[in-house]
Amino acid sequence: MKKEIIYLVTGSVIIGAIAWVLIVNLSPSENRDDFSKIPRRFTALGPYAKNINLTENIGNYGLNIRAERLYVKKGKFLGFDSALKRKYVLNKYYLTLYKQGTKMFEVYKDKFSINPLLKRIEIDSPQVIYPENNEQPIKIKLDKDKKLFTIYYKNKTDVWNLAN
Amino acid sequence: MGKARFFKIVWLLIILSLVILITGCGGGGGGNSSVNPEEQTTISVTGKIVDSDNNPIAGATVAITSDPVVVTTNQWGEFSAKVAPGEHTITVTKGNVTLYRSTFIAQEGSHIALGSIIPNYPDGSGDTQAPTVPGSVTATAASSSQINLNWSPSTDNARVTAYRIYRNGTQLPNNVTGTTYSDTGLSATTQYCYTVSAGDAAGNWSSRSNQGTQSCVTTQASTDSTPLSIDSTPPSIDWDSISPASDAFNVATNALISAIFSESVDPSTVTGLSFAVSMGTSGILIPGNITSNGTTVVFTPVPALAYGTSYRVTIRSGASGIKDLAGNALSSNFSWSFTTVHNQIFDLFIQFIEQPTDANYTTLMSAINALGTTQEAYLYKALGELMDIYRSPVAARMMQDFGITVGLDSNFEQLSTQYTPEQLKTMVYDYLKLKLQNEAEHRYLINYKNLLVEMEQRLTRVDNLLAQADGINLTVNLDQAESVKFDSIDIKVMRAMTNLLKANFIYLQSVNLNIINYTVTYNGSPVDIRDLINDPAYDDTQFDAIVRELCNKTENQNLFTYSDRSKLTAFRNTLATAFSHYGNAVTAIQGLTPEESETRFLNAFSLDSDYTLELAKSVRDSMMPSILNCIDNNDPLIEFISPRSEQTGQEYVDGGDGFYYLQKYYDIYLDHFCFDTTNTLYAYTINAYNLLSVNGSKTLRDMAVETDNFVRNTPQGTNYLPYRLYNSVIYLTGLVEKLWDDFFEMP
Repeated sequence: MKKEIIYLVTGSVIIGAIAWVLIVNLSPSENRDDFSKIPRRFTALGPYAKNINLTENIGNYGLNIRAERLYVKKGKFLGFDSALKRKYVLNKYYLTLYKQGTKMFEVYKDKFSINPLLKRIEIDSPQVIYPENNEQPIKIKLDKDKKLFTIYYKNKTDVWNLAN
Repeated sequence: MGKARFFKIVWLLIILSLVILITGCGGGGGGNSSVNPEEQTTISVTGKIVDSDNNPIAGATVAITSDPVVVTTNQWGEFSAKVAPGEHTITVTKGNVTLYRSTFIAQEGSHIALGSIIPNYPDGSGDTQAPTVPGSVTATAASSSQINLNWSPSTDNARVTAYRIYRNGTQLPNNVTGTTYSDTGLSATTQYCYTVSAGDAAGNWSSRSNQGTQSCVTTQASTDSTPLSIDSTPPSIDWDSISPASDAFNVATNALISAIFSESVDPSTVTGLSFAVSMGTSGILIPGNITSNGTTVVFTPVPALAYGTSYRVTIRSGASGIKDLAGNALSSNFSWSFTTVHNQIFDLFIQFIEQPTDANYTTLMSAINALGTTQEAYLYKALGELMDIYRSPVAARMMQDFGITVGLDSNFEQLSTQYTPEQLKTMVYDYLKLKLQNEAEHRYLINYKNLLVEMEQRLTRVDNLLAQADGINLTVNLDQAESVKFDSIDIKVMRAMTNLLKANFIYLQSVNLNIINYTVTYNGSPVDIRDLINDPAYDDTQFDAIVRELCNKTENQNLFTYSDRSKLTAFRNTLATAFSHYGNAVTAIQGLTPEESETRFLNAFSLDSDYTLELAKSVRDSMMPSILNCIDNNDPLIEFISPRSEQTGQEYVDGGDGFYYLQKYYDIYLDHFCFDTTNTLYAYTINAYNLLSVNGSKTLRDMAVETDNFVRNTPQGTNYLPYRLYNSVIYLTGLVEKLWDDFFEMP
């Protein structure tokens, strides 16, 4: 019961969850003609993109993000859909960490949402693609500012300092 | 006069001839540049000195340099002299008056006849003789506004240089050199009288002419002589007569759009179609008010223009275009574009969000304050202050625990606590941990009372700012990629949020949060809980037991009990205010037409589907009144109602535009709760609803006590009575939620 109540009155005023910071960083690989076919209602809140493929350096590691599709979804406040609070939704999402060109870790998530500022990426119950036979974590968290990559397992937590 | 000019021309021709001769000689006789004076020949120079009337001036002295030669004119004014070849100056004087001075060149083998020489008074003085009085003026009325004049010429010892004209005794500003004049700009059927006087170069002026009868005349009567014409000229617009200018950038969002036509336009032809303003290249017209006044047409956008947006203005020609008063339309459409200024305030918002420092907050608020007292400024001030409130640790913690989550990005979460939500399961635990771990860093918790009062005051200020922003209609366009709209409904939702938050800060002011005895037992030994929590080896799993011991200490028995019940009334009223704003927002959305509702898609707050609207209505109509009812009535049987929804299905629906949309279906239930006197007490969060169920009475007592899941002796007793669900009824079924953003393309 409480959760239902909280759902109704829970919300965030995320003035900051405004997506344009990322707009310049996202480079949809599809051409603009395809983009223009997307109804405005889908794109009005922020970018819509397909076949995302981003690579950036974090400390001594390389981060690659791939997703089949990205779009923006409104959040809720007091039961209202709020254009102030926006989340990116990523479909068929791969996150890969490299070090000196060698793949170190890779996870897959069918669908999850993320804060547009993308300073921290948290994925619950991701599927580990690499290393093979790796224990499946409960959650992974990537903090770009602190350059920390944390893997939460059921009975332990691994923290990678990406600066090293 | 004519003679004088003639002789002057002759004289100039002579001089010119001499120059030509000397030039020619010099070219051929280059070897004779040195001339022996003994061999010099003399050249004869003759002339005649006369006045302007060709009367001879006898007895004048003629001096020719540089020989020098001095001769005197005879009775006929004639003189003759011999000079050497070369350039000479001739000066004619009589008495003390210099009559004439000029130069000439004497060429060997020639005779120079200077002809008649008329005095030119080169020194400007000496001539004291005024010209003769002109003959009477003859005036003729040429029209209703013009009179033509003529008069007989004057004579002068030198020459007449100008005539003054007097109209009715008053000198006209301009002199004339001739003997005719046309006086214009006169009044019809009015008599005017004229006189003239003559002047010479020395400034001598004659008396005015006689004012004879012929010198006065009456202008003709005025007649409407303007021929009747048909205006067939179309109006036009100059590029310099439009505003904002074509291709202008950084145009203010409150700018008016205007054009000045070449002639007055017919106001009835000025419409939103004939003077059309559209956003970007979409062709979608923006709303506004149009006024015309003579040649000027002004379009006032309502609401104001969006930030960072291009607009196109089209003034149409043709049958539906703007026409002049004669019915002539523009010859062709007149169009131009401009772009509004980028919203720099939101850049500063982002900067503050990414780096929530005091300096960035100051920068943000300074920029906002510079906006003055517009509704836009009030909105930004409210948002800025809310964000600053959110970044305080206790505020962030409270808003999460009370369901008013602060989601100002993860940076704020980092600021708010060093602990994960899993560690901080309750508000009590949060409070204790934050307070105990490092009091110095958490001044808010040390001086929590002051903080709570400060927060209440700040939120009151935010609410006042939002009240002043009510009625705003603002589109904030963010980098051309997305936009957020704010209107009166959004303000209501924000005021609901603000007052909910404020109510919780008020409520906590009634609770004692002071810890007196910090000693607890850990691994069988007494230890200060502050040292314990700061110990890296501390086992967090024992925290529940430690907190129980701390709370049960005699010195701490008043912890989490009411210390100021007077705040409870303010809490209730603030909660009611929040509910009122929420209800008003839902009602306003409920009253929108489908089209109006659709346009709210980009608003800060909207209810985008039947499902969300009905859910919000049930909160407004059932839950919120039941909360206030519980607070206001100390009746054990009174119920608390909470809406609950159950998803009954979902499917992708062909949207007909190449995409499928995810569509979900819901049933909404209303759950009715009353107090359970039999179940084991248990509650693990503080929120506004727990406080309703204490000791079997639905009052605002002992909220904090009931939030703990253990029994302890307090002045309020040990009974903790949680509420239980006793009935659940269907409210609405089959409600549809279209998840427009959760779509996929058709195969």
